[in-house]
Amino acid sequence: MGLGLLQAGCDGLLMGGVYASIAVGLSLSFGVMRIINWAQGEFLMVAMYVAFLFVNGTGWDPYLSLFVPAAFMGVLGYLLQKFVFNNMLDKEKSREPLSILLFTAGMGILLVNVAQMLFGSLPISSITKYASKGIHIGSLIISLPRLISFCIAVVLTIALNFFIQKTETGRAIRATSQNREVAQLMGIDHKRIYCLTFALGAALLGASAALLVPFYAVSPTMGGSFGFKSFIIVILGGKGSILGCLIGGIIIGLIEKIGGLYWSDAYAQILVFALFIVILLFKPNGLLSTDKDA
Amino acid sequence: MKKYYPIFIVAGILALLPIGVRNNYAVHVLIMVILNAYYAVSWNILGGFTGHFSLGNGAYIALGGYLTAVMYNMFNVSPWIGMIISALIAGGLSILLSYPCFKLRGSYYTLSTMAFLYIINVIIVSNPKIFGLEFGGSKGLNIRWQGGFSRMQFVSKIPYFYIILVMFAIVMFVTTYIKNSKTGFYYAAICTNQEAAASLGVPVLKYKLRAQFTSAFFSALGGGFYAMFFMFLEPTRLLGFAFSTEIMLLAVIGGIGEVWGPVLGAFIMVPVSEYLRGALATKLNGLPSAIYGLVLMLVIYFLPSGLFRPVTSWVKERVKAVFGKKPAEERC
Repeated sequence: MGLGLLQAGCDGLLMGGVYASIAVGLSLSFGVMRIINWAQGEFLMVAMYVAFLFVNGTGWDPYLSLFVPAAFMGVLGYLLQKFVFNNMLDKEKSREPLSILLFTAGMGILLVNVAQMLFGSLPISSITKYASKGIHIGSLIISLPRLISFCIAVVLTIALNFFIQKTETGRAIRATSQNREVAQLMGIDHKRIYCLTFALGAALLGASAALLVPFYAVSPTMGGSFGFKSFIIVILGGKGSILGCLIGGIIIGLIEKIGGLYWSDAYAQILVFALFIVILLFKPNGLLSTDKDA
Repeated sequence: MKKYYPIFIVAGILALLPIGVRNNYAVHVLIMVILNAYYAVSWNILGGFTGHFSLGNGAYIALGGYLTAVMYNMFNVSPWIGMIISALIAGGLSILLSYPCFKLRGSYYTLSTMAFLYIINVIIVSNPKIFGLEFGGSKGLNIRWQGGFSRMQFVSKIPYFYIILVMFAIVMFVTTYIKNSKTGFYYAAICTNQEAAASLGVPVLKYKLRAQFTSAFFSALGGGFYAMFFMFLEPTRLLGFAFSTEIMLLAVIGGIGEVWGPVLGAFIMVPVSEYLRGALATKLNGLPSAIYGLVLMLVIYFLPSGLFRPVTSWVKERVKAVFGKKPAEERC
């Protein structure tokens, strides 16, 4: 009983770290540009196929080839923001443009179905040397790939947070997020900041995809649940807050695994969604928020 | 009265179409077009008129379908009555769910509708029996075949066509009426600026709930039709994100907030996707949906307010150019 709980807690914690690094991009683009990327989960799916094909094609270590999907997604994100989203933002006047949400919803559908046509709808998992390795502590088993992925995800997330908090560019990003007009008056090119922010988030998403490859099967429809969990994490942690993402991700991971232990996996999902609605209603700015206004 | 003429004209033309058609597939496509137009119009009552985008309308459609089917399968309740009872239940439930969520704005509201869709999905998929009633679980629910008018079961597809056509005409009458009534102006005020509307004395929450009830009621009624037409309810389809998103897409592509916008969206998109589904069925499974996604992206990027306005103004200009006189009566 106690051991089962500890095991579930460990698994949840490890998965939560990866959830967090997936959600960071969504949180940043929501916080800085006020845009919701509805296709976050589908981007993850695309990045996972990229990572998977690269690892299978070259036989490199999945963790060392993390830069490939990260660079791929980063460039893709930069271009998308520069040539599509920035134009759409110019046309929209409202603060939280629904048009980009709808646009990315369409993109999500497109990506899922194109992936289905290219790769078929069956899940594929890659067999790497890490696959079945585990660390035994007493009767507790910690899966090695999950542990490595968790560590890299957390390090990358904290590094990004450091970048946003401490560097000049990061300061510019935060300034744009707080007040775009004033930031412009201070000589910040907000469009460049938008592109950079989206690219950073997308690159971290790409890296997270590589972290999932050793222990998670990739399929065209896998993005949906990850995408939705990312939304929940962003709401939990507060939009734009990277450390909030980390906390939100770990909470989701823990609820999933511990809920699955006592109840069933399906009902643990219900618990996650119920928590989401409760947070939306009572703390729409995230668990860490102190002010009540939206 | 004039504003209702287009409904008579469109429904009249549609009613003549199946005459002489012996091709079952053509009738099936017609039914799918009208059914999807019906769903999109129902979505539009809340999403278009009040600006609260729901991505969970599949939940109400599924609820209407499941309740109608369960009442029919287990208690032999005629679907004609079952549909209305289940639509009322779905409408009531929608008010309970939305009451807290209408505090939320924009994307947050949309996310909450998705969360509810997911919760209902998990409940139905993981429970073959709910309160002792047979819901079929993940395998889906078959509807018993008995045949006959009182059971809304016909061998031919033609009766189904006329049933959905009448339902479509009814929902069009209702939306045209709403759009031109005080309620419609209140909805428009809520859509444009909620605070300003409230400050002028519009009971915002009450009217949002009213729009939600109407939207859920008609969606669920369409769900009842779905159950009797397909004789099978598949939870992964009905309660999946794709189904609800596609309904919203039809309205967005056509033009939200316009009475005829969602109809235009459905009349363009559904035949295309049905044709592709038929023509490429096994080879390229994902293509119809991929095209849905692509068209949505293009429409949102180039025509953010949908196709309806550009198309109608283009038609009017043509009419003016050809006949050189007053353009045809404005449709709504």
